[in-house]
Amino acid sequence: MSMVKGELKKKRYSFSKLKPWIPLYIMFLPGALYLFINNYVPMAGLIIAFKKVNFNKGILASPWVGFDNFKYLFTTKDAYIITRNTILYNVAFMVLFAVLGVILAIFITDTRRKGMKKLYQSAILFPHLMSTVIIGYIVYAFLSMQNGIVNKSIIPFLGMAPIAWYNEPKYWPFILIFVNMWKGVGYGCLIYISSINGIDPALYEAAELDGASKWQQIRHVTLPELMPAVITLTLLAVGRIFYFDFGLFYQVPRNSGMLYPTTNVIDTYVYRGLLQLGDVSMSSAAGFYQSVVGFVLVLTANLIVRKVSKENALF
Amino acid sequence: MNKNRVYHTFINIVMILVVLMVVLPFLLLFMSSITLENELLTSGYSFVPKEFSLESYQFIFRSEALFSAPMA
Repeated sequence: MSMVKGELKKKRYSFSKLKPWIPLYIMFLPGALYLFINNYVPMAGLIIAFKKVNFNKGILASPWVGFDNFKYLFTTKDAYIITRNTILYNVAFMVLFAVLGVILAIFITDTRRKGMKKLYQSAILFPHLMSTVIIGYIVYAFLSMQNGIVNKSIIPFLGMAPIAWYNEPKYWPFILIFVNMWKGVGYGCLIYISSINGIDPALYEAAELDGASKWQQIRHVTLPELMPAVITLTLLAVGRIFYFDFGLFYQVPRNSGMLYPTTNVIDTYVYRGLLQLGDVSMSSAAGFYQSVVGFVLVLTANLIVRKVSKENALF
Repeated sequence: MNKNRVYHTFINIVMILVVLMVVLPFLLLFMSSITLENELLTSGYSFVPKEFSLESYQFIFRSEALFSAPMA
């Protein structure tokens, strides 16, 4: 009896402790519901990856096949190609975003005239606001075999034979990296600009008094002060290393079959598997593989960052 | 001081190139939107179309799809 009383007392105590936070919990509720409905409930669908789905029987009644779907995925050459493409593209994007973003941010903050500064800033952010479908169309206007401006005007000018861009996989790593830089560099750049503006001007004054050149000021003041922002943005990118801007790899190469060796990534593979082969189980196995590797990578990256500098870790 | 001048000129040249790289594709997009459809097919995309036409705009504004399309 006394134990029950003690428990009651304890409960009331913890509830009164909780009370001031109730508004916060209510505010948290819609977001939690959203996450639950969209991210947690669909996880039950993972069982599809371990079944041979037969739509006549329904998902639950379909026979279990264990890891057969995964075995099939890994015995084809596709698994290697899509994993390689995914990782290499993402590493290239991460490095170039950081390098180009920092360079452009330094240039923009060093621009003297205010009007020009605004122009540069808006210009590099502009493509980020466009839909990838439209960007895919612009790329087509440049690279189309018969009508593209590159084959029509630039290449004859240089005296070369026209190139069938949409049939040649070897050019696409460069094209896709270029397009993605063109589209996305402005976003990171804005964050770097704001952290450069936050650097104490006294540091630059001191450096100038000591006779530091512009380059020395950048190397010894700007870059070290920018490092935390660069680390945070790169960490966030690592978290998405297995995910892509789907449009970039589907719309921009116009789903050209000849280009699969260099444009196929896990996301497009899953999508095509569903759309063309109609094989739900295989696609879901590929999706599961994507999630697991992504999850492990996030944990590892976070672990490393926590070892190096604890305050920059995400969790 | 002279060195600073070189640096600032360099920055401005690079940034103007970057701005052109951003603006020109959109200019091309706009120009091809007001080019006659047949010209796009025969002589290709270009910054200075020979024949202007607002046909494509008439087409999208006349079709109901523009106003009922789900915003994605």
